[in-house]
Amino acid sequence: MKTPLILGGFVIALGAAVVGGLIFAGAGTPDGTAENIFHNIVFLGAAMGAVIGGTLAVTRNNPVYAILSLLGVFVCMSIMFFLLAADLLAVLQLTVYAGAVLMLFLFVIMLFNLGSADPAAEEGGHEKRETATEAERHATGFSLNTPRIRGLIGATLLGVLLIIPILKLEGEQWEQFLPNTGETIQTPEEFRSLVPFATMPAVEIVPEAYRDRLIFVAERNRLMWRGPMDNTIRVTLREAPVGTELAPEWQRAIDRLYATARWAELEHKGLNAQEKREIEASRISALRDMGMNEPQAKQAIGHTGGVRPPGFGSVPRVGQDLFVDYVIAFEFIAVLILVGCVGTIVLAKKRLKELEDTPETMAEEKARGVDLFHRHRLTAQPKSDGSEEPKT
Amino acid sequence: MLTPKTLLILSAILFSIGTYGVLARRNLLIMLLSVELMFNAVNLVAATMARMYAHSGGHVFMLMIIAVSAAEVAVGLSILIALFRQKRTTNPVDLTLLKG
Repeated sequence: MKTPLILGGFVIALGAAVVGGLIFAGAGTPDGTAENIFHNIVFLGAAMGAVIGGTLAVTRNNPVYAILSLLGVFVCMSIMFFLLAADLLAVLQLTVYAGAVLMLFLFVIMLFNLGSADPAAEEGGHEKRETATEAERHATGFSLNTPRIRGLIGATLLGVLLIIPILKLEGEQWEQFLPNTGETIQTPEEFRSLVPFATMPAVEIVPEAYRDRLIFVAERNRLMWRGPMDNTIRVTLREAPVGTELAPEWQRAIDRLYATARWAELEHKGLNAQEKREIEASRISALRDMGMNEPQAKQAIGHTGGVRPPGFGSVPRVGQDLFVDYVIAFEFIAVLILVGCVGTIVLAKKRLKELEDTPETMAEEKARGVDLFHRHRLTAQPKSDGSEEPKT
Repeated sequence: MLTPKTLLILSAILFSIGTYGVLARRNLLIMLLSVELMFNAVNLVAATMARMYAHSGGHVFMLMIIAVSAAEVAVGLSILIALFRQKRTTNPVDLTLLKG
């Protein structure tokens, strides 16, 4: 089948899927859950586009077609990164991969005229040498030893090897796990006693599945989530100055939350599904009394659903990770890129033979009428007869 | 459909396609292209895990992978250029200097 037709159809189909999905998906759900069906449609389109583009990229004989198909793959990956709340990385993917790496490939093809198909197709290899494949073909007219079939077998085995443990993954949800951070409060009395000492107290509720303690953190107005795991929900007691007593409904809610959490922890082994649901319902209502909305409450008690902290994947967040938390890795990568630049230039540089100026050669060239000031003394290949022809 | 399992399986499929490209193609440029495809599959896994655990380290790792792959493509292409200048072929079958 003609490659331009395939590529064109693929681009049109993908564009229709993306545009249709984006039109109907709107700006996404406020809490970040991907339960919207049109998110799924866009993802399906992008996933199929990535697989089709990848297949095209490795099977086209013309390298330019392969690169264009890979560009389609990169765009599909970028769409998927947007769906996965990695906004900055999606844009960087397009900028770096589509804008720099593919350009490098195209320049190499263009400058060295690599645009022709593979010599002797895939089966025989080089014409001068008869490989095992060719011998077998001459003998039997058919060979299973071709690179294509070997590649297919190898890739299929690898794919099976990779997919088997993935299929064993339990749960279809976006599970979130986190360790405990900060000081812990074991009893409601402790909590009540600590609140007056904070200027702007905030309570982080850890999901019940792993820690059943209320974490008291005396921080105010964090712009971003700074902990290693950001699955905790802040419940800020609004404008509570020092010494304020908690309002009765807050107190009731905290007591109820604490009671259900402790009870569940003590008896979780014997709970059946119905009891678990009741406990979860009471905990969710307790958290909603405190001002959380439904998805945040679900996340706080350990339900999955994919709620992510605000600013996840945004530019300030990635910047903070890169320049504050993982700055050593960043520095190493910078050195690596520098070394790559230098290495590329050294490897790809043409070997220039610098010609030396002796008084005799200079007199000879002057006699010939060469402008000694403007000539260039570096040529790529010196002439075999010994007389250097300077480039002007 | 947008579940971790689906995304990881998709990533495995893309990785296998890239492996096929590296194993079955006789053009060094296309082999490099297939390696890029494998890098993207790994990027998808990193993004999925970052979303799964709400941990931004996945994004940082993706950035590292992008940077490393860009540098590797540059150096790989320059090696390809140097080889092409010497041997006028992009077929790795012809690279037999180290053959025992």
